[in-house]
Amino acid sequence: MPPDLEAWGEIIRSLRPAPVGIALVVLSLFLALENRRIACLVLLAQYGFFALLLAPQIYTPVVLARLALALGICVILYITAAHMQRATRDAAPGAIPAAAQEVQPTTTRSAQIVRALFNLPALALGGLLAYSLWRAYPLALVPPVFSLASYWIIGVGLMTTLVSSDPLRRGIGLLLAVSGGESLYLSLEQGLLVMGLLSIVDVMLALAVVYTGEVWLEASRREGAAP
Amino acid sequence: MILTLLFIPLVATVAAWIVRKAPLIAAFLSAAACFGVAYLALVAQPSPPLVILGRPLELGPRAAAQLSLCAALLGLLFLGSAHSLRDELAWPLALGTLALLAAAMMARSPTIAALLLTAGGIVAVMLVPRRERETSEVASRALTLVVIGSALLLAAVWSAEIQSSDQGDLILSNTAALALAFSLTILLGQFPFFVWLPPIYDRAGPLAVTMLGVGLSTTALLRFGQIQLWASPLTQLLLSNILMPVGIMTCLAGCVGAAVQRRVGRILAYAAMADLGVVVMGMALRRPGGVEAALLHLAYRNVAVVLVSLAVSVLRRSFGGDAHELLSGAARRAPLAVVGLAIGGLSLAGLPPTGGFASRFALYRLLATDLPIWTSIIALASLGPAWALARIVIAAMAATPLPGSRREPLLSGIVMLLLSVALLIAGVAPQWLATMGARWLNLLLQAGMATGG
Repeated sequence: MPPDLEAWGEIIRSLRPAPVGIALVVLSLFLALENRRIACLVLLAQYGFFALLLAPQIYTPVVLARLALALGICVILYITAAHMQRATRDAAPGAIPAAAQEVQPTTTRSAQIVRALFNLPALALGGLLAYSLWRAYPLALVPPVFSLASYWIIGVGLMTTLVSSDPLRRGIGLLLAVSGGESLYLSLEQGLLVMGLLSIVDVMLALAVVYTGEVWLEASRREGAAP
Repeated sequence: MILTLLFIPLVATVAAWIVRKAPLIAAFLSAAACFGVAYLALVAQPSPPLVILGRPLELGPRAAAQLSLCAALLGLLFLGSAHSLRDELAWPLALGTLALLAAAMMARSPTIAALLLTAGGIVAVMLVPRRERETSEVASRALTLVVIGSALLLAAVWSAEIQSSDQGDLILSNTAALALAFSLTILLGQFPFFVWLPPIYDRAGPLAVTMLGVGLSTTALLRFGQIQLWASPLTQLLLSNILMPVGIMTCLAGCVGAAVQRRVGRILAYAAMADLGVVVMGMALRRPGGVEAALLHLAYRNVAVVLVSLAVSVLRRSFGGDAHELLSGAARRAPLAVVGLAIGGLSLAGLPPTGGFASRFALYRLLATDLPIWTSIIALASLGPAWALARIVIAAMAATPLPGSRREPLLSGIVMLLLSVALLIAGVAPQWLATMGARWLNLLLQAGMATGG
């Protein structure tokens, strides 16, 4: 292992759970905002975070390749997120039929705040469950900081999936959960074929999320419902 | 041969994407690739495993039989739905899914198989969204549950793989066995009931139904459901004790649910789930011949699901919907679709004179030894889907079709006729099937390899 990586590995091993926990809580707070573009940035941030944690354990070019892939995934998601945000903004309240409004309320600032306030306890619950699991079932082969981060991201990701109402946000939650699980898995299993297949699964999942989101957006427009 | 089997659908995926603007060419090209895979899987001779990056791929006899059938059904479906496919990505997505699921059936390492299954499931979900907003929401739910089920499956098989003995036997801890059982019930759409797979039967097109309800289910059951081949006796008991009640509950819920439906899509959803429950019961049965009977039933179920989903698609196109009221007089405009619906439905319900009855009867006989009361209840409950179908077929026999309805396309009719005849032969004269499909039956009923293929 090169000396700089060795030093980095030492830093990672000496990390205490508290600062990592604070970083994770801050990341989770951004998810509560229900802004699709910010959610993409949170996803990118956690990909970077896990790449830093995995760097001492995995062959560096592989980490860099995964990071590049993560960047690609986030760019694809961000473009769709921006597209959806524009469509939401452009949907004039008067143009939306009453029936559709019941299903999907018009996105106003106050509604956004109410939804963010609703999301916070849900995300806190996800985080709390992750923390309890981490305390109850410590993984002997994985550094504690790493397992805490993975459990947390899985918990928060699943909760985001559960409380989200559109395919893109639900998909971003799913990608977060998958990324947490993958990082835990890659800290134990570093076969090249496994890593390659996991990357393929990530890309396909992102494409499926984007495709489903775009079709949903088109269908919403056609049916006169607000996205 | 293994490489060719993977290569054909992958090349066809690219070719179908290139000619996607010409639906008929894309349909025939995709169908040809599927028939090629079906033929090669059937005639493949046992060969040494192909090793890719240290992981072997091998086509076991049961996997060869199921892959051959699934590819042939997909090929027929491409021909049968050529008239109605509007989505240009449908052909490449379905072929890509076929390649990934075939690779999952062949991978000897359970971890690699689980990863390929996940990838196949995700690609197949992309076939679900159509013009209606509801289908996108169904796809989003399906994606979530496929990924959660696959993650649990991956955790279970990875745990088994790292604990494997020196002889290569996989050892499942109790926790891993629970995760495996839970992941299978999620991937098969049995839990949470009517959340992801049944709405796909109900709302999505026949290609999505085939890839998720037939391809994904078959691969998951074949690769991870044959617990007798790779779990220790104690773990087998635990898994059997979980899967048997799940199978019984799914079957009963499906039969009762189907009885009260008035739309053909929903009848298909409930009847297909009920029939899958019977397959799971057979897989969980710890008796000699149980798995073989379950796999044969799974094969007939797959034919019936493809037939009914194609019939539903034709009826929707011809009559503008699949509700009971809209199908009045349907037998005059779409006679082969109504025949396909009746025969496929009877097979899914496990009633004579269809293949579904023949294979279910074999399973009932085995189940009755251990669970006589439950077997009787399930046999009685199978009248539920039949009752619902009878209502639809009686309405379809009305003298005057609704104004504005259209005739069924000829190619779809021929495909439905072929599938209906196959199910009737399997039910009325199984000895013909034993003669004509001797090689396929031999492969299916041979003992699988240690990894479940």
